[in-house]
Amino acid sequence: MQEQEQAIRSAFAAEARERLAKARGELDAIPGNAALDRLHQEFDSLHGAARAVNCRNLERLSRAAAEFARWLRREPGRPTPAHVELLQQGITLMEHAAGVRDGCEREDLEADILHCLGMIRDKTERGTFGRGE
Amino acid sequence: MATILIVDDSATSRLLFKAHMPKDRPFQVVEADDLHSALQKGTAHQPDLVFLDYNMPEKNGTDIAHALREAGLDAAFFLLTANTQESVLEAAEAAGIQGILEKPITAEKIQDVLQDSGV
Repeated sequence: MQEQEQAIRSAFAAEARERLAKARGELDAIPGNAALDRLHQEFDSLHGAARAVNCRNLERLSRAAAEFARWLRREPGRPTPAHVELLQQGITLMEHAAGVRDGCEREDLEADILHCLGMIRDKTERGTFGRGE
Repeated sequence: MATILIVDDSATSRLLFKAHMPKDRPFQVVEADDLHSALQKGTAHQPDLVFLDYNMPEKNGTDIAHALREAGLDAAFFLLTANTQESVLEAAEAAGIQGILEKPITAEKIQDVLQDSGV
């Protein structure tokens, strides 16, 4: 049983790394609508996998990132370079949260996670980002 | 021995699905991660049951169900999804999906489907 859990955890870490690398690649340039759709897909799939293995840190971040990508897709004139930077920061944090050894349980990420989630929430709910910047 | 095709682009989810399969009898579980591999594995193995993730890149689970039926598969189809919006349920019905398993998937949910399907 422990062996099976280890195999699932390793598969999850590998999948997370692959999806995050693809997401990062989409941000080499300011993403257009098609790239935002792909970003949403990657983050949403990552959220599903994180939820399935109960990786709470990554689950929260990937869900917020998926919603952020969808919001950016709907908003005219987005994303701005500042949005892209926030997505890149989110991906970096998710890479830490998906660490093969203890990323899912790392309590020291909590402050950064809350900060990142707060930034995303601030931008999507108030719509303040990108206006007058 | 019953053959089951699991179509999901997430390797983690496929592995978890297999881990949740009943251990009291043997099954042949075949995996696919997109439309192309689903058609290839489906026609080669002629599964009794097909489990399809809904949210996949390129083609979603109901699209793939349509394609597998058109390819001649005579199987019972089940959709795996966390999204139970009306539009998804309608698409599932149109694709001839027999049942929807809400994610996260558990051993109990799989066992119920197998039992109801007589597998």
